[in-house]
Amino acid sequence: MFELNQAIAEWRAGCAGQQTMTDTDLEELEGHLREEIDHLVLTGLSEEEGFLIATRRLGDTSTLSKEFAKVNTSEIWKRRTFWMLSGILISLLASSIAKVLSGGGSLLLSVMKLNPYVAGVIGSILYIIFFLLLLFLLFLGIRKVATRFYRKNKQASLLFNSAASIILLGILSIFSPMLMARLNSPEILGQQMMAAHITAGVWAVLWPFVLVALLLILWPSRTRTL
Amino acid sequence: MDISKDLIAASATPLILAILSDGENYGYAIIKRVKELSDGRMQWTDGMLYPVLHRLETQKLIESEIRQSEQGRNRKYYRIKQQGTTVLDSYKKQWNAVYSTLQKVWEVKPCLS
Repeated sequence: MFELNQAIAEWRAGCAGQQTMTDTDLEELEGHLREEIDHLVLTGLSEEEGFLIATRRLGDTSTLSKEFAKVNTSEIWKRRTFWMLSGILISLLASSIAKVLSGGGSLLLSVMKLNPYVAGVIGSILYIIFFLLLLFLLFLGIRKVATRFYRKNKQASLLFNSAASIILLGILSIFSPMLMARLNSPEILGQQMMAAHITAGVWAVLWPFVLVALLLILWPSRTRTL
Repeated sequence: MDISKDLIAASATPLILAILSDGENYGYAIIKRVKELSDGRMQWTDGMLYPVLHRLETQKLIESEIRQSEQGRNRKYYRIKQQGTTVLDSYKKQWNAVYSTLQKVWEVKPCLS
């Protein structure tokens, strides 16, 4: 059974997926489509036939999106910059959450009187694991969040909350080394810190390469002319 | 008779501006008007009108306003601006010049003597 609104919604989602049309553009095209379908139905066609002819007359989605890309260049770049900056915010958030969690872990390990070198290495590895895991989860989540909080004011409050969390977590992460300094002798603390820093140093060397590898995997296969 | 893509593309701007100089209008109706005026000889791919309208808007030749239609749908109405009228006049002169040149060439009778 043909559902007109469903079909139009799918058609619109297909256009939106091309990322070159603004909401107003889509609204305008949908209005055109509906008017044409109304007109065709009045001449005796079924809604499905009307939909097929109207979308055909409107032109295929990829050609249309190329034409819109030519006029919407600044809008497209604004969108790209938005996603890039969101990426930076997300990585900051992931990093500060991971810092607090691994700080807690290190504190626990030093309370358990584990070998300070081992504790240091584990503490740093915990940070790396948490960071990557959170980065992955947050990036998975952002698309859903972005569609759910489509309205700008909700999105803004989400962004502000993220920024506030980053600052709060930053303050929180100071407490773990402070407590560790209270609980342990300076010598043990120094050993744990050293091991942690060496592991973090190895990660600092590896991380750019991991990032480059990811970028190469995600390299866009279709080059669009903009 | 199909009019070539190049000619359709070249005439799109003056045609849109001329239609809007008769009064404000929206996309669907503009396409209808083009079909009517050309007796269906100018076949646009409907969607292609909108990027052209948006380009004219960024060039400040036309302006737009979103209002509700009788069916309660949002409709974007376009209106020609002063600058658009000026550009339209210049287009008229250019197209008339091309047209009269072609007419002169085509009207020359072969000389038999």
